[in-house]
Amino acid sequence: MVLSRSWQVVGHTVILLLCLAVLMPMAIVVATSFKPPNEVFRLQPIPADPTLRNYQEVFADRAFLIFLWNSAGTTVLRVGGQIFFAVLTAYAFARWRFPGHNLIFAAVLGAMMIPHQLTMIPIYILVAELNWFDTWQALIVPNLAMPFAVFLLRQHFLSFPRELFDAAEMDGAGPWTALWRVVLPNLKPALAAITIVLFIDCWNEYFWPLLVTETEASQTIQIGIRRYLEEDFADFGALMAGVTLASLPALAVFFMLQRRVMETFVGSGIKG
Amino acid sequence: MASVSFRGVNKRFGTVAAVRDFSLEIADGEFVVLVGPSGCGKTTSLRILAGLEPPSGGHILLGGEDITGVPSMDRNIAMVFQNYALYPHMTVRENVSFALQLRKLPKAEIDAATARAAAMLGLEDLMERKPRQLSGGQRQRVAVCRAIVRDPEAFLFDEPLSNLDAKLRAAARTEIRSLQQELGVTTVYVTHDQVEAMTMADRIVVMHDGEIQQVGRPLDVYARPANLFVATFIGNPSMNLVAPTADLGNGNAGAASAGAQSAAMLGLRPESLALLGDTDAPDLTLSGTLRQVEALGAETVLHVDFCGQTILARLPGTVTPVVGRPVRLGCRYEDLHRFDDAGRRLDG
Repeated sequence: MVLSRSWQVVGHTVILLLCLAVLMPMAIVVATSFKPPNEVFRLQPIPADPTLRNYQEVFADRAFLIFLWNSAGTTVLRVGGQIFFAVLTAYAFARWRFPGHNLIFAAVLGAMMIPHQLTMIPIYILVAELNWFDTWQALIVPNLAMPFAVFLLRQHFLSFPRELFDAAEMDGAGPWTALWRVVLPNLKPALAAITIVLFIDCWNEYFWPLLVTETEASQTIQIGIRRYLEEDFADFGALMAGVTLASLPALAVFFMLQRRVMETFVGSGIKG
Repeated sequence: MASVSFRGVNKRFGTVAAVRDFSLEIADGEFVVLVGPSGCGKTTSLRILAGLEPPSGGHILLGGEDITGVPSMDRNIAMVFQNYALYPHMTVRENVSFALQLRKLPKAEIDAATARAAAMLGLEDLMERKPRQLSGGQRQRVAVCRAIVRDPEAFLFDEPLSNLDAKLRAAARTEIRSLQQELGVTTVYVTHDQVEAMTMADRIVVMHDGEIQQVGRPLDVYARPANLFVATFIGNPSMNLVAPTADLGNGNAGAASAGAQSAAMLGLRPESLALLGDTDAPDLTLSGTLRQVEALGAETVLHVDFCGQTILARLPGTVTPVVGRPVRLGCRYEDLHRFDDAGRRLDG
């Protein structure tokens, strides 16, 4: 379908406005992070006297680096664990029929529909009972099961050509070997897409870390940068520098894996 | 190399019987083709032999040993799939050597076996390419190469030529047959293409509705089809079927002398029919109107209206009669095929 000229103009205008709505806050954050304190509340978008002072201040703060480490460590372990368990669960759902197959899968789908906030209190109590409060375990373990990832991966496994499973089996590959050496290498786009979503979701999470962390031992960067926003004094320059730095890993993962998704989609065809 | 036996194999998918009482003995080194229309159970039978589908009943023997419950990966059978099923993320070399790597053979041995198999298929220059960088014919050769590198006891082919164009298919037919003869490996080949079946097989197995209709050497099956299904399935154009009550020129006397009165249906191969001149007097005559002429060069196929049905006659390419004219077709008694009420061949 080819849109008329006027509809094309309308469409592009809407897209442009949406882009501005998304990019403007980010631009303000980045610009403010380079402003000296006397310019922070000025409306001019570009700093008149740009400075790296805010970044120096943030990097000089040992706690900020600890928050960064906590975020990076818990995110990598959590996303890795989520992908690992989701792959195994989805593979089982896609390849074998076993007693209770449909019931268990319905339970997985049901778990997707329960709001996270509803399960937070029982999980919080469980975490407290296990003495995991203010530890990395509290941030990682309760979030390892990811029904959404299971559902998406199961769909990908189901659409995987049956002949490749058969060929692997005839070549002497058991279910494990077939999964690691044949199936997963061909599902890199799906894994990359799911990793992007899970990584950003985990990296940006605020509410759960706020509940279960208390000290530098486990506080993540999203919680930690609040220290620049005290009741009696707010260092907006440092805060914006912290926010900018906190955004970089998520952006890096997104761009790195997005390219991988595109490369694999363009470069491969599953049919041999 | 080993013999293969199907002993009363059945396969049901829910209430549907995909394969019924399938029994077949395949000799060591024999090339057997399972042929039949879509849904006749030929691929299911092959998958049961491969170990990719468990049978609902019956037994499979390989080299005299019952392998019914043996997992596919332990059967030492190689299979070439319809879409080749090459691993897209691996190079040709990795595809071919994958099975050997899984057996944890020494690297030198893997390299030697891979190089030997690649040389047999002329793939030496393609070894570092990925499947997506190959043409259809090259992928098919890689799939065959992957099968032979394992030195299996039996080869299984599941319509491996169906994705190739006609010219390439003809070349690949010859190549696969020559390779099989060279290696002497027992081979079961599934196809719906009767040309492949007729040209490649030592024996063909015609299947329909999950059951074996006839087993025999290609020319025997062609010359003496066991029933109406085989008669119409094997041969192109199909055998003409005529009711014995039709006017066969010499009248009922002619039909009677052909033993046709006891038959429920008579069959005539298109190439058994000849275009008659005014004075020719064959055993049987079919008179009708010429409706269509397919001049194919080497041969001409006539479509003749006869007693309300279309009779096909295959004649030499030099014969080009005029459409719309009355014509007389004749044949000999011995070219007549007779079938009973149940569609079975009458004369054994």
